[in-house]
Amino acid sequence: MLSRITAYSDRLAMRGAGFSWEYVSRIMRQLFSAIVKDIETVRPTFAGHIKGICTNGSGSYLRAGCVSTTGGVEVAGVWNKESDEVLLVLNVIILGVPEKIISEIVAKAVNETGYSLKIHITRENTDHQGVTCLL
Amino acid sequence: MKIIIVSGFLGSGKTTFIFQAMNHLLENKEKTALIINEAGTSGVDNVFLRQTGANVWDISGGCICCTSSAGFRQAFAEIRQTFKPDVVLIEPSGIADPVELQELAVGCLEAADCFKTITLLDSDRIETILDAVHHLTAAAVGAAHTVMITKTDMASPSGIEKARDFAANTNPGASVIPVSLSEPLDQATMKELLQC
Repeated sequence: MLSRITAYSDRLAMRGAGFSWEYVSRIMRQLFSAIVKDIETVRPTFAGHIKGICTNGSGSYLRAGCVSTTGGVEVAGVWNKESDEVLLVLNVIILGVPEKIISEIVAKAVNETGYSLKIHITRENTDHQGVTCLL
Repeated sequence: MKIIIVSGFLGSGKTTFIFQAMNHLLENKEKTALIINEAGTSGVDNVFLRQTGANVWDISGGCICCTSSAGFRQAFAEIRQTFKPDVVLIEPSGIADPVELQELAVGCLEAADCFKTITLLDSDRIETILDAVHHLTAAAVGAAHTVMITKTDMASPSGIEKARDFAANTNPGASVIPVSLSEPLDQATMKELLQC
Protein backbone atom coordinates (compact mmCIF):
# COMPACT_ATOMS: atom_id res chain seq x y z
CA MET A 1 0.00 0.00 0.00
CA LEU A 2 1.37 3.43 -0.88
CA SER A 3 1.07 5.95 1.93
CA ARG A 4 2.23 9.47 2.39
CA ILE A 5 4.52 10.34 5.26
CA THR A 6 5.18 13.96 6.02
CA ALA A 7 8.59 14.86 7.41
CA TYR A 8 8.30 18.36 8.84
CA SER A 9 11.20 20.30 10.38
CA ASP A 10 11.17 23.60 12.20
CA ARG A 11 13.84 25.63 13.99
CA LEU A 12 12.55 27.73 16.86
CA ALA A 13 14.55 30.39 18.67
CA MET A 14 13.32 31.04 22.21
CA ARG A 15 14.24 34.11 24.16
CA GLY A 16 13.40 34.86 27.76
CA ALA A 17 14.98 34.86 31.17
CA GLY A 18 16.79 31.98 32.79
CA PHE A 19 16.17 28.87 30.71
CA SER A 20 16.87 26.11 33.22
CA TRP A 21 16.46 22.33 32.86
CA GLU A 22 13.06 22.49 34.53
CA TYR A 23 11.91 25.40 32.41
CA VAL A 24 13.08 23.96 29.09
CA SER A 25 11.53 20.59 30.00
CA ARG A 26 8.25 22.32 30.78
CA ILE A 27 8.28 24.23 27.48
CA MET A 28 8.97 21.09 25.47
CA ARG A 29 6.36 19.05 27.32
CA GLN A 30 3.74 21.75 26.80
CA LEU A 31 4.62 22.33 23.15
CA PHE A 32 4.76 18.65 22.22
CA SER A 33 1.56 17.81 24.11
CA ALA A 34 -0.28 20.61 22.28
CA ILE A 35 0.99 19.41 18.89
CA VAL A 36 0.16 15.75 19.42
CA LYS A 37 -3.27 16.60 20.84
CA ASP A 38 -4.20 18.63 17.77
CA ILE A 39 -2.78 16.03 15.41
CA GLU A 40 -4.90 13.36 17.10
CA THR A 41 -8.00 15.45 16.46
CA VAL A 42 -7.14 15.41 12.75
CA ARG A 43 -6.02 11.79 12.69
CA PRO A 44 -7.07 9.82 15.77
CA THR A 45 -4.74 6.94 14.94
CA PHE A 46 -1.47 8.74 15.38
CA ALA A 47 1.29 6.86 13.55
CA GLY A 48 4.42 8.90 13.76
CA HIS A 49 6.88 10.65 16.02
CA ILE A 50 7.33 14.17 17.30
CA LYS A 51 10.87 14.81 18.47
CA GLY A 52 13.08 17.76 19.13
CA ILE A 53 16.31 18.90 20.69
CA CYS A 54 16.97 22.12 22.59
CA THR A 55 20.52 23.48 22.78
CA ASN A 56 21.93 26.67 24.28
CA GLY A 57 25.30 26.84 22.52
CA SER A 58 27.18 26.11 25.74
CA GLY A 59 27.06 22.33 25.71
CA SER A 60 23.57 21.93 27.19
CA TYR A 61 21.09 19.79 25.34
CA LEU A 62 17.68 18.36 26.02
CA ARG A 63 15.97 15.88 23.72
CA ALA A 64 12.23 15.26 23.85
CA GLY A 65 10.05 12.74 22.05
CA CYS A 66 6.36 11.93 21.91
CA VAL A 67 4.31 9.29 20.09
CA SER A 68 0.82 9.77 21.54
CA THR A 69 -1.20 11.82 24.03
CA THR A 70 -1.36 8.88 26.41
CA GLY A 71 2.35 8.05 26.35
CA GLY A 72 3.45 11.51 27.51
CA VAL A 73 6.61 13.37 26.51
CA GLU A 74 9.96 11.71 27.23
CA VAL A 75 12.78 14.11 28.04
CA ALA A 76 16.51 13.37 28.36
CA GLY A 77 19.74 15.31 28.28
CA VAL A 78 22.16 17.51 30.19
CA TRP A 79 21.60 21.17 31.03
CA ASN A 80 24.68 22.80 32.54
CA LYS A 81 23.53 26.32 33.29
CA GLU A 82 20.71 28.75 32.77
CA SER A 83 20.72 30.81 29.57
CA ASP A 84 18.58 33.53 28.01
CA GLU A 85 18.31 32.03 24.56
CA VAL A 86 17.86 28.48 23.30
CA LEU A 87 17.34 26.87 19.92
CA LEU A 88 14.83 24.09 19.40
CA VAL A 89 15.02 21.84 16.35
CA LEU A 90 11.64 20.22 15.95
CA ASN A 91 10.73 17.25 13.74
CA VAL A 92 7.19 16.02 13.14
CA ILE A 93 7.15 12.84 11.08
CA ILE A 94 3.71 11.42 10.61
CA LEU A 95 1.62 9.24 8.39
CA GLY A 96 -1.30 10.73 6.48
CA VAL A 97 -1.38 14.35 7.69
CA PRO A 98 -0.56 16.99 5.05
CA GLU A 99 2.31 19.45 5.51
CA LYS A 100 0.00 22.48 5.58
CA ILE A 101 -2.03 21.12 8.49
CA ILE A 102 1.09 20.21 10.49
CA SER A 103 2.47 23.68 9.90
CA GLU A 104 -0.75 25.27 11.18
CA ILE A 105 -0.82 22.99 14.23
CA VAL A 106 2.81 23.80 15.07
CA ALA A 107 2.18 27.54 14.65
CA LYS A 108 -0.82 27.36 17.00
CA ALA A 109 1.10 25.34 19.60
CA VAL A 110 4.06 27.74 19.42
CA ASN A 111 1.80 30.75 19.96
CA GLU A 112 -0.07 29.16 22.87
CA THR A 113 3.11 27.96 24.57
CA GLY A 114 4.86 31.31 24.13
CA TYR A 115 1.84 33.18 25.48
CA SER A 116 1.20 30.97 28.49
CA LEU A 117 4.87 30.68 29.52
CA LYS A 118 5.69 34.30 28.63
CA ILE A 119 8.56 33.56 26.29
CA HIS A 120 9.31 34.92 22.85
CA ILE A 121 9.44 32.15 20.26
CA THR A 122 10.47 32.81 16.67
CA ARG A 123 10.08 30.26 13.89
CA GLU A 124 13.36 30.64 12.00
CA ASN A 125 13.47 27.99 9.36
CA THR A 126 10.52 25.84 8.44
CA ASP A 127 11.00 23.03 6.02
CA HIS A 128 8.86 20.07 5.15
CA GLN A 129 8.58 17.36 2.60
CA GLY A 130 6.09 14.69 1.81
CA VAL A 131 7.51 11.26 1.15
CA THR A 132 5.45 8.58 -0.52
CA CYS A 133 6.41 5.23 0.91
CA LEU A 134 5.49 1.62 0.43
CA LEU A 135 4.05 0.99 3.84
CA MET B 1 34.25 -5.10 11.26
CA LYS B 2 30.85 -5.60 12.82
CA ILE B 3 27.93 -3.89 11.06
CA ILE B 4 24.61 -3.64 12.88
CA ILE B 5 21.42 -2.10 11.51
CA VAL B 6 18.99 -0.92 14.20
CA SER B 7 15.62 -0.59 12.49
CA GLY B 8 12.08 -0.01 13.68
CA PHE B 9 9.12 2.25 13.08
CA LEU B 10 9.04 5.90 14.17
CA GLY B 11 9.22 6.22 17.94
CA SER B 12 10.02 2.56 18.63
CA GLY B 13 13.12 3.41 20.73
CA LYS B 14 15.97 3.20 18.19
CA THR B 15 17.84 6.28 19.41
CA THR B 16 17.42 5.32 23.07
CA PHE B 17 18.81 1.85 22.36
CA ILE B 18 21.70 3.25 20.30
CA PHE B 19 22.56 5.68 23.09
CA GLN B 20 22.82 2.74 25.51
CA ALA B 21 24.70 0.61 22.97
CA MET B 22 27.23 3.42 22.36
CA ASN B 23 27.91 3.67 26.10
CA HIS B 24 28.36 -0.11 26.34
CA LEU B 25 30.75 -0.17 23.36
CA LEU B 26 32.69 2.78 24.75
CA GLU B 27 33.10 1.04 28.10
CA ASN B 28 34.36 -2.04 26.29
CA LYS B 29 36.79 0.07 24.23
CA GLU B 30 35.24 -0.86 20.91
CA LYS B 31 35.77 1.89 18.37
CA THR B 32 32.34 2.68 17.00
CA ALA B 33 30.98 4.69 14.09
CA LEU B 34 27.34 5.62 13.84
CA ILE B 35 25.47 6.35 10.61
CA ILE B 36 22.21 8.17 11.25
CA ASN B 37 19.54 8.76 8.68
CA GLU B 38 16.64 11.00 9.62
CA ALA B 39 13.63 11.82 7.51
CA GLY B 40 13.55 15.48 8.57
CA THR B 41 15.89 17.95 6.88
CA SER B 42 17.00 19.30 10.26
CA GLY B 43 18.05 16.25 12.22
CA VAL B 44 17.46 15.82 15.95
CA ASP B 45 19.05 12.49 16.83
CA ASN B 46 22.42 13.23 15.26
CA VAL B 47 22.68 16.38 17.41
CA PHE B 48 21.68 14.39 20.51
CA LEU B 49 24.12 11.54 19.92
CA ARG B 50 26.96 13.90 18.95
CA GLN B 51 26.48 15.66 22.29
CA THR B 52 27.12 12.32 23.98
CA GLY B 53 30.49 12.01 22.23
CA ALA B 54 29.53 9.55 19.49
CA ASN B 55 31.31 9.56 16.12
CA VAL B 56 28.35 10.35 13.89
CA TRP B 57 27.94 10.38 10.14
CA ASP B 58 24.68 12.15 9.44
CA ILE B 59 22.56 11.57 6.34
CA SER B 60 19.42 13.62 6.92
CA GLY B 61 16.63 14.80 4.68
CA GLY B 62 15.93 11.62 2.75
CA CYS B 63 15.83 7.88 3.11
CA ILE B 64 19.04 5.85 2.84
CA CYS B 65 17.09 2.98 1.34
CA CYS B 66 16.30 5.04 -1.75
CA THR B 67 16.90 8.80 -2.25
CA SER B 68 20.02 8.94 -0.05
CA SER B 69 21.56 5.55 -0.86
CA ALA B 70 24.56 7.19 -2.57
CA GLY B 71 25.17 9.23 0.57
CA PHE B 72 25.13 6.03 2.60
CA ARG B 73 27.67 4.28 0.36
CA GLN B 74 29.94 7.32 0.49
CA ALA B 75 29.73 7.58 4.28
CA PHE B 76 30.33 3.85 4.69
CA ALA B 77 33.40 3.90 2.43
CA GLU B 78 34.81 6.89 4.31
CA ILE B 79 34.26 5.16 7.66
CA ARG B 80 35.97 1.96 6.49
CA GLN B 81 38.95 3.71 4.91
CA THR B 82 39.66 6.53 7.33
CA PHE B 83 38.01 5.82 10.70
CA LYS B 84 38.52 2.03 10.72
CA PRO B 85 36.09 1.17 13.53
CA ASP B 86 35.39 -2.16 15.22
CA VAL B 87 31.65 -1.58 15.00
CA VAL B 88 29.38 0.39 12.65
CA LEU B 89 25.88 1.05 13.96
CA ILE B 90 23.32 2.16 11.39
CA GLU B 91 20.14 3.94 12.45
CA PRO B 92 17.83 4.33 9.45
CA SER B 93 14.81 6.58 9.54
CA GLY B 94 11.69 4.94 10.94
CA ILE B 95 10.17 4.77 7.48
CA ALA B 96 13.07 3.14 5.65
CA ASP B 97 12.35 0.04 3.57
CA PRO B 98 14.17 -2.65 5.57
CA VAL B 99 14.74 -5.00 2.65
CA GLU B 100 16.25 -2.30 0.42
CA LEU B 101 18.37 -1.13 3.33
CA GLN B 102 19.66 -4.60 4.09
CA GLU B 103 20.58 -5.13 0.44
CA LEU B 104 22.40 -1.81 0.46
CA ALA B 105 24.38 -2.69 3.58
CA VAL B 106 25.18 -6.22 2.40
CA GLY B 107 26.52 -4.69 -0.82
CA CYS B 108 29.11 -2.81 1.26
CA LEU B 109 30.36 -5.87 3.18
CA GLU B 110 33.80 -7.44 2.92
CA ALA B 111 34.60 -11.09 3.63
CA ALA B 112 35.79 -10.53 7.21
CA ASP B 113 32.77 -8.42 8.20
CA CYS B 114 29.90 -9.71 10.27
CA PHE B 115 26.46 -8.31 9.85
CA LYS B 116 23.28 -8.17 11.89
CA THR B 117 19.88 -6.50 11.79
CA ILE B 118 18.04 -5.71 15.03
CA THR B 119 14.43 -4.63 14.61
CA LEU B 120 12.59 -2.84 17.41
CA LEU B 121 8.87 -3.50 17.81
CA ASP B 122 6.90 -1.14 20.07
CA SER B 123 4.63 -3.34 22.22
CA ASP B 124 2.81 -0.33 23.67
CA ARG B 125 1.55 0.77 20.22
CA ILE B 126 1.45 -2.61 18.52
CA GLU B 127 -2.22 -2.34 17.50
CA THR B 128 -1.78 1.12 15.96
CA ILE B 129 1.42 0.17 14.19
CA LEU B 130 0.07 -3.04 12.69
CA ASP B 131 -3.07 -1.21 11.64
CA ALA B 132 -1.24 1.73 10.03
CA VAL B 133 1.98 0.21 8.68
CA HIS B 134 1.55 -3.55 8.62
CA HIS B 135 3.52 -4.12 5.43
CA LEU B 136 6.53 -2.10 6.60
CA THR B 137 6.50 -3.72 10.04
CA ALA B 138 6.27 -7.23 8.60
CA ALA B 139 9.17 -6.48 6.27
CA ALA B 140 11.27 -5.06 9.12
CA VAL B 141 10.60 -8.03 11.39
CA GLY B 142 11.14 -10.41 8.48
CA ALA B 143 14.58 -8.93 7.81
CA ALA B 144 15.69 -9.13 11.46
CA HIS B 145 18.17 -11.47 13.08
CA THR B 146 16.90 -10.24 16.45
CA VAL B 147 13.57 -8.63 17.29
CA MET B 148 13.54 -6.41 20.37
CA ILE B 149 10.06 -6.04 21.83
CA THR B 150 10.32 -2.55 23.37
CA LYS B 151 8.36 -0.54 25.95
CA THR B 152 7.40 -3.59 27.98
CA ASP B 153 7.20 -1.32 31.04
CA MET B 154 4.41 0.71 29.40
CA ALA B 155 2.56 -1.97 27.41
CA SER B 156 -0.29 -4.19 28.55
CA PRO B 157 0.38 -7.95 28.84
CA SER B 158 -1.79 -8.47 25.74
CA GLY B 159 0.27 -5.88 23.81
CA ILE B 160 3.48 -7.69 24.67
CA GLU B 161 1.91 -11.03 23.75
CA LYS B 162 0.65 -9.65 20.43
CA ALA B 163 4.10 -8.28 19.58
CA ARG B 164 5.72 -11.61 20.50
CA ASP B 165 3.22 -13.56 18.38
CA PHE B 166 3.68 -11.22 15.44
CA ALA B 167 7.48 -11.59 15.62
CA ALA B 168 7.32 -15.37 16.02
CA ASN B 169 4.84 -15.86 13.17
CA THR B 170 6.53 -13.41 10.80
CA ASN B 171 10.10 -14.52 11.40
CA PRO B 172 10.36 -17.84 13.27
CA GLY B 173 14.15 -17.84 12.86
CA ALA B 174 14.75 -14.58 14.69
CA SER B 175 15.54 -14.38 18.37
CA VAL B 176 12.99 -12.33 20.30
CA ILE B 177 14.06 -10.25 23.29
CA PRO B 178 11.51 -8.23 25.30
CA VAL B 179 13.00 -5.15 26.93
CA SER B 180 12.23 -1.87 28.59
CA LEU B 181 14.67 0.86 27.62
CA SER B 182 13.58 3.15 30.46
CA GLU B 183 16.65 1.94 32.34
CA PRO B 184 19.95 0.90 30.76
CA LEU B 185 19.97 -2.72 29.62
CA ASP B 186 22.11 -5.08 31.69
CA GLN B 187 25.55 -6.00 30.33
CA ALA B 188 24.59 -9.58 29.42
CA THR B 189 21.54 -8.54 27.37
CA MET B 190 23.45 -5.79 25.60
CA LYS B 191 26.31 -8.17 24.82
CA GLU B 192 23.87 -10.69 23.37
CA LEU B 193 22.16 -8.01 21.28
CA LEU B 194 25.43 -6.72 19.84
CA GLN B 195 26.80 -10.15 19.05
CA CYS B 196 26.82 -11.17 15.38
